Amino acid sequence: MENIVECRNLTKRYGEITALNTVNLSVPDAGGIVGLLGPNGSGKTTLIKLLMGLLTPTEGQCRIAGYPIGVQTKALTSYLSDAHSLNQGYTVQQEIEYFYDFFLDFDKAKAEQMLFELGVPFKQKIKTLSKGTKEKLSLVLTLSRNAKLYILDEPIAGVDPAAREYIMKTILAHKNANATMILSTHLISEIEGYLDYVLFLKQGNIVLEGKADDIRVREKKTIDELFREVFRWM
Amino acid sequence: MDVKLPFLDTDFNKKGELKRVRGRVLRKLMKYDFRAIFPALLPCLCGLLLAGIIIGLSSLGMDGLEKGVWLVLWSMLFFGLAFMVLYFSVVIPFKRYHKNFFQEEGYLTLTLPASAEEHLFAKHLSGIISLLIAAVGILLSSTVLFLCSGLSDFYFLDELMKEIGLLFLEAPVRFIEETILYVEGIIAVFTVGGAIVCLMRRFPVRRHSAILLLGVFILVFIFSNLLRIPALQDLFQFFATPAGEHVGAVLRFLFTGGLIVLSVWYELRTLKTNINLK
Repeated sequence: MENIVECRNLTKRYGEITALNTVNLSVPDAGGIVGLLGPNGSGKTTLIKLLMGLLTPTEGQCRIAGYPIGVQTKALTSYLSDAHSLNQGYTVQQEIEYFYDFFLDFDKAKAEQMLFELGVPFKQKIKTLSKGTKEKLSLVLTLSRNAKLYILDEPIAGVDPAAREYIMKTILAHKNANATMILSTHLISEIEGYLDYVLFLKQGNIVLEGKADDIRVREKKTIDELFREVFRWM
Repeated sequence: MDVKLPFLDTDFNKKGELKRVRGRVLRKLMKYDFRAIFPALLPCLCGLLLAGIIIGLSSLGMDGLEKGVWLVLWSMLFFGLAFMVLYFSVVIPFKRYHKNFFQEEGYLTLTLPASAEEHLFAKHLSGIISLLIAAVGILLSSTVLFLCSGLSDFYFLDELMKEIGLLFLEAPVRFIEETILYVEGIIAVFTVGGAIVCLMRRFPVRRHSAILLLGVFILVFIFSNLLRIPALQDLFQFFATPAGEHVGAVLRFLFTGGLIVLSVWYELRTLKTNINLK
């Protein structure tokens, strides 16, 4: 099996602070959900930004589907950031057009159908939408691409448990079946059942990597229990 | 791994490599820049044209001092609109540049499948085109004003100011002239500021980016005015002479032009290496 994501000796420093320290990782192209797990400040978002080309590594390199990070990898990857990155001055309809214009794999009909079902007003400006509706819109636009790789940065952080369940159901229902999804979070118990592969990130280092089922059998613990053990406050 | 890239055949060159600047992507990026600029710019341009026609036509039946006073007073409105046109053609592209690259919207803009060259060319081209359209609009409206009123140029303002003692108008007229002159300076700030912000190696940048941009603006302002400071003019007597003023203007133009070329190159380099916009 080939790897959808490969990083070799990946290091990122912000001045004196080392956010990622010589990370080597390989995510298999198995079409599952990969949990990028770690507490706040462990380097999850930095790793994701490096994969999305928003940051340059201090050392090392990453490849997505065999391509170095660049225009090709951006075309293959659908990204949901943890910030409100949508064009605030546009209406929902204009934002759909924007995605349709730039992403050749964007399924406009699917996005419109999902947003119609959610009752998102098409003619309303994004800046006037509620926080929750903005998050739903971002998620719908991300999932409406037929991408090879989806990268979701903290999609369930800061929302209530009912919304978390809705988000996870939406992700599972609309994800491209052949695509791999990297999902970063520190709320393990909420996504435990959906994970196929896990990456534990601690202080900029990968401390555990492997198939979720293999880890559960080997450690005789759930991923959540293992997480609490690895990241227990001393 | 054999993955089919979601690109069009026209996106590749004859060697089968992805083009660094694809016309299709450039057009789309510029389309969204224009979509932000023109809703504010076009009404002002139309207003300016209309003002030129109305002011010119309304002065047709007048003569002498009466016509002069009428034109001077209404020209204030005309200059006000011209200033707004310039303002929108410069400030909106500048704001979009900052918002798209250095604020939260950058998480979307910078993850579009577009190269650094495409992003930067689109921003600079749309900024320059909107400036040109503003300049053409101002020239066209002025021409309409001259044609309708039977005047030949705006020097009537200077003559009238001397003739009828409306010296209080000198300041706003000078202000408009200066504004036009500093458009070049603003373009330089646009590019140098962006480059310096890129150097901070963080994305999205925070409050200090605004302080830096302001610092660069002041720097360019000081440089572009260096030759006009009286004390320095005394020091360099030559620049105080009429010929020296022309040389000074040429030097300022070369300085600003050089700064723009240098900063575009530097910006492209820093965006590629620091934000990895490739």
